[in-house]
Amino acid sequence: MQATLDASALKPFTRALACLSRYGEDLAIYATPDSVSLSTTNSSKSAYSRFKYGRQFFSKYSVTSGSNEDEEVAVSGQLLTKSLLSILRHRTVEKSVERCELSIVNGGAQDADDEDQDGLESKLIVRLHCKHGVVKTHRLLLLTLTSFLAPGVSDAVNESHLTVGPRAIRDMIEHFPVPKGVRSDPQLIWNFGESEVEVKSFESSLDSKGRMQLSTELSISAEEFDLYDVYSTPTTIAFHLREFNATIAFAESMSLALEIRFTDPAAPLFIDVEGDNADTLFVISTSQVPGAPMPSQVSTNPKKREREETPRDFARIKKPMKAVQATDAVSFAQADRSARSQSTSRTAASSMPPPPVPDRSFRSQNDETFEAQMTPVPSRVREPLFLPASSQPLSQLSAADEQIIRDTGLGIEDMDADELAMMLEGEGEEVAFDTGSQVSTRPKVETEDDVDMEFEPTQSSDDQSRGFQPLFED
Amino acid sequence: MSQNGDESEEVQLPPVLKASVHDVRYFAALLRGVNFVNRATVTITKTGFVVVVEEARTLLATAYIFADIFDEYTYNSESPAAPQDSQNSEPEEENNSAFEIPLNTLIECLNIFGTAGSSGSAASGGAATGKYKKWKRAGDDSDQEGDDGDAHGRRSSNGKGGNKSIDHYFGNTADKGTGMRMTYAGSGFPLTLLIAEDAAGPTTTCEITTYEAEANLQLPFEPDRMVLKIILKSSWLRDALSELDPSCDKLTFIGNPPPAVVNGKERQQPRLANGTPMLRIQAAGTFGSTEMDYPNDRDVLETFECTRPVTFSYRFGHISRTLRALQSSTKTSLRIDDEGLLSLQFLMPSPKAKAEAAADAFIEFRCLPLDDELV
Repeated sequence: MQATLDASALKPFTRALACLSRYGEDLAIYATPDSVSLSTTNSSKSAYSRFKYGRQFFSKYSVTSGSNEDEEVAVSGQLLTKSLLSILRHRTVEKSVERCELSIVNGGAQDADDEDQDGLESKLIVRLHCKHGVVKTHRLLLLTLTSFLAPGVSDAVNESHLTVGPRAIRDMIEHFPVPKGVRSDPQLIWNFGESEVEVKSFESSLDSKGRMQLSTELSISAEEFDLYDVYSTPTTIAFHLREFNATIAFAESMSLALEIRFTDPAAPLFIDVEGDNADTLFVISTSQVPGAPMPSQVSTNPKKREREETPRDFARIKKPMKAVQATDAVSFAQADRSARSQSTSRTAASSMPPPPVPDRSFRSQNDETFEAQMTPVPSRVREPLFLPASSQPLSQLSAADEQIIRDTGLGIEDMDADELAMMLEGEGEEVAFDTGSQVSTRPKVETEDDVDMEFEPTQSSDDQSRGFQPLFED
Repeated sequence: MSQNGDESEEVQLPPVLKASVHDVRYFAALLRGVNFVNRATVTITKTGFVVVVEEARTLLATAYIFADIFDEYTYNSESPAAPQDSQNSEPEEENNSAFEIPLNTLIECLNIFGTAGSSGSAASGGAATGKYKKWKRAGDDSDQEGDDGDAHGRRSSNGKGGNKSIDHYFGNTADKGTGMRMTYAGSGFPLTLLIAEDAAGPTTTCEITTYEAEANLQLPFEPDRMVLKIILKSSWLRDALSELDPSCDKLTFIGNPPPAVVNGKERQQPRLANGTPMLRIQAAGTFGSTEMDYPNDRDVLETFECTRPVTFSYRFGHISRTLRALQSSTKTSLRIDDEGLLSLQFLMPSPKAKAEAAADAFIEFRCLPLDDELV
């Protein structure tokens, strides 16, 4: 890949990198003939940021296929965001750099430049052409992309849309002081009402060390938002500020408005910042707020759907944290293609409402960890993937298990899978067989999806062990 | 206090060194440029004094501070007047006295009012002091006569006694900075500093213990063995070094003779045609490598003399020691001899644009190369 940035394009590019560096440490670069995307995910995988620059953004841009003849010409790599940022953000760059060339040299590839062909590592070469003919060449080691997380596009019907200028939203947020220190990352609760938005600090983020015993609550008129379209009006979500602040800072530096989209509590929040030649997406996971009213459609509880949905979603809570990393760019590209091609066929399956949340789940809500709430894996956006495990004792059980519990008539509906497995003892095999047979009735397209999405252990094998899963994973 | 000077006068021995300056910022900036190892050797001569710091028997930093940066500078050689102290003198330079001193302490003492600033240049130094909260000094005209008589009397000795009253009448518009008088009575005596923020303000006296000097590393640079000589604006080198990743452990200077000079040598011609840069600074670190190429442009390299292609590597940790001196300097002379000994001289601009062509002080770093066989 070769891309040339002139001085005017370098500034927004550096700002984007500065924003990315506040999201995560590792920067993933994925270059296709049409665009370059830079993305990062934070360490707990609860936030994701992606900047996609079309080829028009660069004064020169070309992607040539590497050594292997692949039909998909794409170059990818991963490096520390800071190492690239520290080069481009250096104070002398702004003054003296006239042109910046970024190029990726694949390891082992024969390069015309005789200095670049040593070694087998891929390298990102940043060549800064400064005034007076001074040339500064930085070669950064480029690692193989270990994880390529990409959330799909959310277009659910129950989506809420907000558009707000960076200035306005910063005026709201600056009332909530962020305590100094790397560890602190306060959460805010946003309650979107009919004509007012209430923002308040999340209690649990206050008293980690007894510091910051300040609870702030703020009501803003919905008119502050340029667009205010909330699907069902009291919607309450909570999310962390650290990455959100990074987004605001970027949007403010670029004077671009934020387009915020969200569906349910616990489903991720999407922020789009549209600029010239750049397509910017931020995804921040949200969490449910204890005691907040749930959107009405979630509480409907048809038994049929529960049988299919519940086990699958449980698998997702556990799995993506590990499985999602083992992606390489090629399979990502395939997944991306298949996701695009199947997006229509999947609509039926994935537009199913999120799984029911039993009422009693709320009392254990405080135990939830936000690490359990993650950015979605590709194309799996619409379900709330991150229902806290501890909040759903029953949902960990397969439908068959639940039936067993109910049939016993012992009034032990609160029992969780562990206890049930203990109680059933030798009967576990039978239970597993039941669940397995349900899987085969699932629509075919679903299963294919799952394979594409890197759940290497196929869904059905997961399901077979469902009854015992807590024994293994806990 | 002043008793030290009085005592030495009582035993009929003038102090070895008496120096005073009305603004310590430049003096402090010179000292700060070599302040990376606490123990410094100070050698006093008639024309000024030399502060030497060494690290790892590889890097030698020398600040040459000439007598004319001081308003008053008196050196009385110890040896002839006091033969009993002769064991302290440098064997080869009988007339000089040397001592070791904790450099950090000396700089902190100079900055005791927070007015020594971090920059040597007059403009930025003045800005730095402007931000600093001053001691109250207006409106106490009547009181200060008694209190400041001492300081005033001392000031008058260096011929600037009149300044005080003029400053008062003109509302202190002329910021004089912090004045200093330094006395060293001789071997075994402490270095005594008397520091006054201004004539009307408080004064402080610091006594810093001195130690007997030990022999320093000697890295003589022979001009006739020089293979590369570059004079460039310090900002170029400063930017280059500051842009390098701190994780770098090795820094390489590569010099190639300019085409005009190497007419006789054909073998360089094709490489130069390929665009071989005149000067390349190269560093390799954990996350990658960096190269900086400088062309033969008078705007960049004011002087470039290179007799043959040169490649020598140095430990980045040593080269980065020069950054502080580099930051306050204007020009840098970079020389490398045929064995790779690097000599970096930083010209430290004097804040007062003296009419007389007083030599600006400079700081020199000498660094031994890394052995390429071992690296």
